[in-house]
Amino acid sequence: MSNMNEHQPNFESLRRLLALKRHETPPPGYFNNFSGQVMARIRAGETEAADGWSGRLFASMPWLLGLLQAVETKPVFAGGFATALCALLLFGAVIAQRPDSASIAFLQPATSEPASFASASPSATSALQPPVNQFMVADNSTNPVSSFQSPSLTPFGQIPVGAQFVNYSGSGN
Amino acid sequence: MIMAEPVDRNVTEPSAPTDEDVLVRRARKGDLAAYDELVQRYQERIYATVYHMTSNHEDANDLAQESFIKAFQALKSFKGGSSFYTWLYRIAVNKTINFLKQRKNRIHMSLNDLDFNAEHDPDLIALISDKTPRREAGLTELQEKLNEALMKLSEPHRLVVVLHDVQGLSHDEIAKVMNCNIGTVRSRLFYARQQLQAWLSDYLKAT
Repeated sequence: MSNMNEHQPNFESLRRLLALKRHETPPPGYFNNFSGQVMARIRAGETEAADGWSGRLFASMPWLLGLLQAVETKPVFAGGFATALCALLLFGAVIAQRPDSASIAFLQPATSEPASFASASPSATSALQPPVNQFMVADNSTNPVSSFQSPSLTPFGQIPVGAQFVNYSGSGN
Repeated sequence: MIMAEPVDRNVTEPSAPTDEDVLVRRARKGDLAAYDELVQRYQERIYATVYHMTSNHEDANDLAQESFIKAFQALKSFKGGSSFYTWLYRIAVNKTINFLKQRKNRIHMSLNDLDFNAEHDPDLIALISDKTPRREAGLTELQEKLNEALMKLSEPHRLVVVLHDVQGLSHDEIAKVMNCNIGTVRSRLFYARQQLQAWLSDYLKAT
């Protein structure tokens, strides 16, 4: 500062010129309507907020609104949230690239070898399972997806498949 | 009408602080009439700050309104650590700087007219006297050149000049608004004035 003061230029003319800015005024009557417009926008915003899904959400969970406002008004919260999100993504990426990760195990069924699905015999599954199921697996052998699917592993439970024999003999036209 | 007094205005001491506290407390509880009074109390100074930063009336109108709306929405987070006015100023300034950063290199000036008093301002009369290098320049031309020069400054430097030399805020209050120390305010002000002086040398009287 002392160095600055030693070589302090004279800003008096500039200060006078800057005084001109104080004479720039908005159109006459501008401030008569200003607060009215602000209040109208606030009221409109409140109505919209109360009617919309977000309004209902915030009404049911006021802490969420507080959290969002904190993130909005304080950059440190926003930064912390972004850092946490990045850390989570990084963690997910690292875990996903590990083949021996335990996280992959839950994606696989308890019987870890897919071949066991194909080799599952009808007798080993269930007595309720009709023999036709075995037939279906054989029919779909060209389809690698369905051939590995044991009928008992379908998400819809047991598919009730029934076979009926049709007799064409005897009755004629 | 003069939008901002050139005197040092201490923003932490508004005319009736207790009255303001009551209004803020009522507004926090959702009393719109109380908030309306607060808006009317500060609308001219907030508008003027935003206008001098943007040199555009329409932008200043939008940003000033949005600043008051945002302040109302965030009123519950206002803990009273600073005065309401300083807090409101900070919201308006942050909003304006964000707007200017988004609008970078797309500056469009929409200047307000000079009021009647400009022609009788002794500072301005002295400035456009026969000692001025460009004495043929009228007030309108001076206004345009001044605004162009201000818009060439970076936002923090422009803000310091606007708050101190135009709005009349003290260094201390500017530091609170800009969330920096007083030394930073002083050095920014010095640099900004030097820049302006160089750019406007044709219009400044040699002393």
